[in-house]
Amino acid sequence: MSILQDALLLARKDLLIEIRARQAAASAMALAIIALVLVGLAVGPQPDRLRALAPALVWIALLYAAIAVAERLERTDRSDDAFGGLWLVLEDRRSIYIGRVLSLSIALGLLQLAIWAVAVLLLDLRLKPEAMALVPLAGLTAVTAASAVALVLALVSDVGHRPLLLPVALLPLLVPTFLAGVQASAAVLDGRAGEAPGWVVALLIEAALFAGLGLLTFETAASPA
Amino acid sequence: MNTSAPATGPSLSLHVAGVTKVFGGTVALWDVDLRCRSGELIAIRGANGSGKTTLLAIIAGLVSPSRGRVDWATTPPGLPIRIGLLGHATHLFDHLTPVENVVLAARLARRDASTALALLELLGVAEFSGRRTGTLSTGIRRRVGLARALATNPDVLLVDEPFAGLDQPAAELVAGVLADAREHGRLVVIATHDDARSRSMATRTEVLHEGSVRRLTVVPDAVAL
Repeated sequence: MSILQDALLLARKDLLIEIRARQAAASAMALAIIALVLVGLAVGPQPDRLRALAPALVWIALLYAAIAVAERLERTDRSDDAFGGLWLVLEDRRSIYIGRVLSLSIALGLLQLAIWAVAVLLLDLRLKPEAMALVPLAGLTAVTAASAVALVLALVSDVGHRPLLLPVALLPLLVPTFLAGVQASAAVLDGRAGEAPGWVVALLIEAALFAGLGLLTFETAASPA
Repeated sequence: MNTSAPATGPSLSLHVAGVTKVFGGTVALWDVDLRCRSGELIAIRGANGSGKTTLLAIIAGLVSPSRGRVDWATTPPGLPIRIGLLGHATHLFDHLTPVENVVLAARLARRDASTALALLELLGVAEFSGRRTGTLSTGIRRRVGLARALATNPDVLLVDEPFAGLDQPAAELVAGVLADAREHGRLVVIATHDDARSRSMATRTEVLHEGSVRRLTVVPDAVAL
């Protein structure tokens, strides 16, 4: 499966660049901390309200991270036309899309877990054992968001004002993912795990839809010619 | 060491047929014709803005012609053609080191990573292989970009201004590498201002005339095949 081998090489390259640049992940964490501190101060010591707000706060930070990391990686690809070099060498160019989904999934999954850890600390959330389900849930939501982000990146890649267009095109697409992610996380946090599977199925359908569209359209949408 | 391992790809011919490119209201190329084949080193000369870079990008498939077409034929027919390009851009990732950039290209092209290291050595840039590419000077970057293009074992090598930003020894080194690529059966097309050097190494020189209508004209061969 050469397409997967290529995708893994490209994902490794993306992660290496993000680790070395650090800007996007660091700014996303800074935003998360500021938002959590401000909300914590505004709400005061009311554990139930803070627990109810936590999933939405984590997801707002995650959306920002998704846009920041994606824009950063795309800018790196377009700088000095590195993308053109990849385009010429690859046998199956869809590996660029798959590689981007993989790298974004890993970055967003890890960021989401880090933001959850900060939220637990700053909002003093008392977690039940069932809260461990947040880990696989973070993985699934990261894959769903990454599939959508990589799809939109391909669609706006050759358009002027990409930094402006990316969030404008992406955020409406991610509303269902946002809702499903927040509801599933809230159910897990509140110990209502029985309500989570419905939202998980919604996330799986969204991930399959975005990934399918991405694989179908990538070569046409992202072609430099 | 030999730069270019013997080309394992097909014997091929290229026909640029009546290619015109218009950007907005500006005519970059007008009705350009060019025929060449494996084992040739074609030098395309012309003043700034004469369309040399655009022509290379069209041959590479990174820019679509407004009219006309680029036809490739291989023996046996229908084989895939790999194109290596060093344009005005070097197609390198700034946050990766030269060795990481070249190895990535080699692996995506299913080639041994050790070839990539040998190419950096050959082009005299091995001592910079551990530094971030973004910190390198233009001349060093150009040589790393050439190593990257060669690491993919291209059947066709397109190089825009191969001697730009290079001192005399480095320019001679690059000229030797390009001549060697031709001797190993690759088709090499360079766009250059360096008349003396291109005359000494090219098997054929073509000139892009200035003016709104530009046509490639054959100049008597400087070096017999």
